[in-house]
Amino acid sequence: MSRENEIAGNVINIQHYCYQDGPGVRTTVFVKGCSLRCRWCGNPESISTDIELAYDKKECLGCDVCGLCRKAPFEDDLFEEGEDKKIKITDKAKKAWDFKNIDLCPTKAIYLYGSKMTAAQVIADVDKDVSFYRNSGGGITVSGGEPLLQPEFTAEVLQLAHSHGYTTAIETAANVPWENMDYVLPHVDTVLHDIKIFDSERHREWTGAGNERILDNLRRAYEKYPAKTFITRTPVIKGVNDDDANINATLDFIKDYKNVIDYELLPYHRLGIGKYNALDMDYPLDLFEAPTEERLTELRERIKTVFERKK
Amino acid sequence: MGNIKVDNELIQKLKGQVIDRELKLDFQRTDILAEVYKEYEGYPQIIIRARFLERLLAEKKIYIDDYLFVGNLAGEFGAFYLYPEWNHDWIKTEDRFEIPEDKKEQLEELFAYWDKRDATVRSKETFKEIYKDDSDKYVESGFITRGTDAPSGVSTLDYKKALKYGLDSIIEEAEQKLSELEVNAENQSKFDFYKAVIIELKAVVTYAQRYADLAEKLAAEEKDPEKKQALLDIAEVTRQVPGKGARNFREALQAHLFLHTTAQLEQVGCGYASGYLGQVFEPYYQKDKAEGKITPEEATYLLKHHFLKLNDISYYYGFDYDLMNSGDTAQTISLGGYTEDGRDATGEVDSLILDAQYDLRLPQPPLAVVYHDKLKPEFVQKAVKLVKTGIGMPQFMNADVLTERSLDAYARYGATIRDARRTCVCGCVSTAIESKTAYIMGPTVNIAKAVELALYNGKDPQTGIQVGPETGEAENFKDFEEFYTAFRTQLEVGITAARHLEKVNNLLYSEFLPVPYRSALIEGSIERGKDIWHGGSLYTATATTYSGGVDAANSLLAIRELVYNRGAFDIADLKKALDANFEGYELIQKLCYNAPKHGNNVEEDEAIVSRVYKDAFDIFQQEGNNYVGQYGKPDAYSKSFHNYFGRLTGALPTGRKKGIALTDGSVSAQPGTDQNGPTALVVSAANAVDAVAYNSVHLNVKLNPDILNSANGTASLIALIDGFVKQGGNHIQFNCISADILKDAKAHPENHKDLVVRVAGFSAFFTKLHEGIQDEIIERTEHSLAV
Repeated sequence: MSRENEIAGNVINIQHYCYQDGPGVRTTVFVKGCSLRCRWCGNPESISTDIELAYDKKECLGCDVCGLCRKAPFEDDLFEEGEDKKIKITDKAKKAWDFKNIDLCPTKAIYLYGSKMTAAQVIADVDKDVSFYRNSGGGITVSGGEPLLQPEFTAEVLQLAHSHGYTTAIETAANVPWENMDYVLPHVDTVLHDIKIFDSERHREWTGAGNERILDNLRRAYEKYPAKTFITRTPVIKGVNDDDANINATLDFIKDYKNVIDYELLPYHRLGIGKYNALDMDYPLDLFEAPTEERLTELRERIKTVFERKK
Repeated sequence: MGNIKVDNELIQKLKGQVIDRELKLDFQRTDILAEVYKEYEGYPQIIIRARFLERLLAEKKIYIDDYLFVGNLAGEFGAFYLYPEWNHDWIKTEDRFEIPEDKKEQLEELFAYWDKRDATVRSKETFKEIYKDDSDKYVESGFITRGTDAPSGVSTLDYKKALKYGLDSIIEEAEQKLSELEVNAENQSKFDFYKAVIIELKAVVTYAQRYADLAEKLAAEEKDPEKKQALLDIAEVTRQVPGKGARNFREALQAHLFLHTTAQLEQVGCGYASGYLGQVFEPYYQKDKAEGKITPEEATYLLKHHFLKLNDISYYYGFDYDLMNSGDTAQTISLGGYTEDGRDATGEVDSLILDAQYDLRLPQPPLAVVYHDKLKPEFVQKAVKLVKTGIGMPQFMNADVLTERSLDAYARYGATIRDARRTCVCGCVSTAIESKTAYIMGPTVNIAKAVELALYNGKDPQTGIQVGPETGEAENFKDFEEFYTAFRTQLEVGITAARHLEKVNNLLYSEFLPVPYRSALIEGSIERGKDIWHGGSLYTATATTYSGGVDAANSLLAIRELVYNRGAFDIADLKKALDANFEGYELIQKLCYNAPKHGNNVEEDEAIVSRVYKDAFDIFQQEGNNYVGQYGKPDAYSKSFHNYFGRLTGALPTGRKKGIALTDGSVSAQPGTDQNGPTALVVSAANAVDAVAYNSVHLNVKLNPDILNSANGTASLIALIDGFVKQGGNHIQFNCISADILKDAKAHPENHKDLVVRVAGFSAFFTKLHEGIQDEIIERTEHSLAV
């Protein structure tokens, strides 16, 4: 894989003061593009690799009060007036969007998901929080989307982060060619990785891909990088993957690896609904729900027992 | 002495009294005031003031109730006195408190006397005589406060010395000094000063004896042996302190209460912080503990009684002042900090103070952790545990900034690094070298008003008064720099007027409202034979304060971006929108609201905030040293001035509508406009003001309680505080009550009477706050940690 000095990544946003994406106070860089299509996805903006136009109708002032996006410097027919006086996004706008002027929307009702950033630009933003990493053992986490789909960029960001003395982490679903993973992992301290469903057929049914490659990548990673820390995670959805068999199989898979230090269950949530609306995508609202607290506690107890035995 | 019986039911009962307390007027002070001023007519003012305090202490109604400690500000629980010497107009116009028929005539006489004499009327006249200018226009337009609205506290007294040796020893010292004085013209005022000190200190000792007498009398009548013993204990303690030195922890606490309330009886006021009080109590606690006389639990129990007494100290000087102050008394206790030789000064009592407030959760005393890397981790954990209760305590102060700040101000007058390391909170967020610094309170400046004046050619759009010079029609300004120059010129007028008033007020105070008692307990005054208003103390801070700085900076940012950079609209359109309070101009309002704002850690935006505060600092220094000739620094905090000034400030180019509270603190974000998370806010705040050059900086952060309740919550919060301090930030405090609870408390106050929240440099009962402040607190951005 070739290395260039100015590799631009496709970044959704950089979120500061995160506390659940690895040790200490962290800054999480969300990158765009994913190789799975989980039907419960809470981050629809992270799926496509393209920069996408989003529209939050309730923020729109409407054409009587505002109408700025229907005047120069915008092209005439990008935005139409809807029946409710608020704007309507045309297909042309979705495709032929002039990205330079987006900030002219006074309420940020129209905005973009995704922008091109170099690793140096990312780290310059991360550097703003340098005072918070030092004592907390914090640092940077690259998440997504799938950070391993942009291996050169992700590796460059993490390498720069290390050179600034920060701890590094990634969040990955591992559904990428092994070469991508192997290219990035040398620069990662903590790998937070999903195993969404253990049975490959069911995995294919719910995420659009089988999990052979994922499990193979993880096995190889655990073995090749014994000094790295791995944390396994499952986004748990009632009736999809919260059954004993699935959790037990996942536990069996990881339990003998000393460098897998924890297994976290992240209950399904519906916080992504606004983003579906903004992207004009259908939300699979009624399909999914989180397991009950009792069920979660029961499963977590089981995991705890296994991990205590590991020590 | 009987054993201390820990009775938490009693604590709950006393707390209930504090929560349910209704303020009521007590006329005894004004009765005595009239009497003494007549009787001693013709005497020097300092002697009249001393005789007045003496009489008040001798005759004021006293009582003993369920508390382990005695001594109150007024004659009964929840009562407050009137202070016509500063400002009494409010009594004439307000009907919040009923004036009994038989008092009305007396009050008329009182008004007639003080109408020509109170500080407010004299301040107006003197300002006009000296500066050939009318100060009313600055005050009425909401540019500055007059500063005489209420008497001021703001000092830390030398409790260490007074508790150890007793007031008798200080009386001896003053008598010695008096007898050594040569009779000559130069010493004229010193005779009166020492005489006044002796009169007042003796009166305090006698005052304590009145409690001992009362306790013994009640004990003789008491049948219940337990209650009898409790009264005899009070008698034993009050026979000893504050005249003689404290012998144990309980006596130390009682001595402090006597000394502290007496300072307020001499001149009441917000801001009597008690310095590192836990460290003052520490040797008494350690001695009792070593002798097996006290347990940590018993000591905490005594501290709770002590804190409950502090919560009963209250005052009211009219609606306007209440808007500025929200009933705060700012009896702040500093915890942690450095010893003189730079080690961790934290004592066990510091930790017990956190425990006591964790249980009590009352607005007083505000707690301030003076933070540095040597603090013990368990102490920091305990402090964060208190933050999690949501009462907004403790605030965290940067110990190194405090040290540098004091050196910067006072090294030129002999302060050493050892002195400077003992810098503590004085008032709510200001700082001073413990027990060595007097505070001259000045007026407060509304920096945001200078934006309005720059837009309207010096004329206040709210009142129509020509307040500042004609800096030109804003429509004709060619670029942002021209606008900024007009803003700066207007600001200069306001700050200069405030500094002039500061000096005029101090001139008046030093002549007719001296404070010999307070002076005697601040280092330097007895040695120099001078009241602190004449420069008696070793150091004298100058508390002329800035509010509305962020509103000004955000206005300037919006004008720069929208008018001059983007040309989204011109000044004429902006003024139309502001005149209409944005009604019919929603687009301009939204553009303004979404323009660049302080608190997002964007360098080029923060540069404007720093520029405003730097210019405000430079203008302050143009007026030179303070009344007693020492170098002064401006303060930057809001207290509740942001609400008071907000009502007098029109719609601003920040998108804020007319009459709404301005931004709280001095480096907090305008509510809802810090979009890059808490780390961006605290880095912006840490760099907005030169915290060493200023005497205070003030940051409120509202955090979602979910953060703190998560597994990593405590560690994340400590990292945030620590990072803020590493960036050179000075002061940070947290609100972490969810907006839902606050909204419910506003709608149903009866269900939330005990809800304590952080307002500005202080905490208060939420349901007792003015609506403007309630709304402002609800609206402050609630930061979630990213999930």
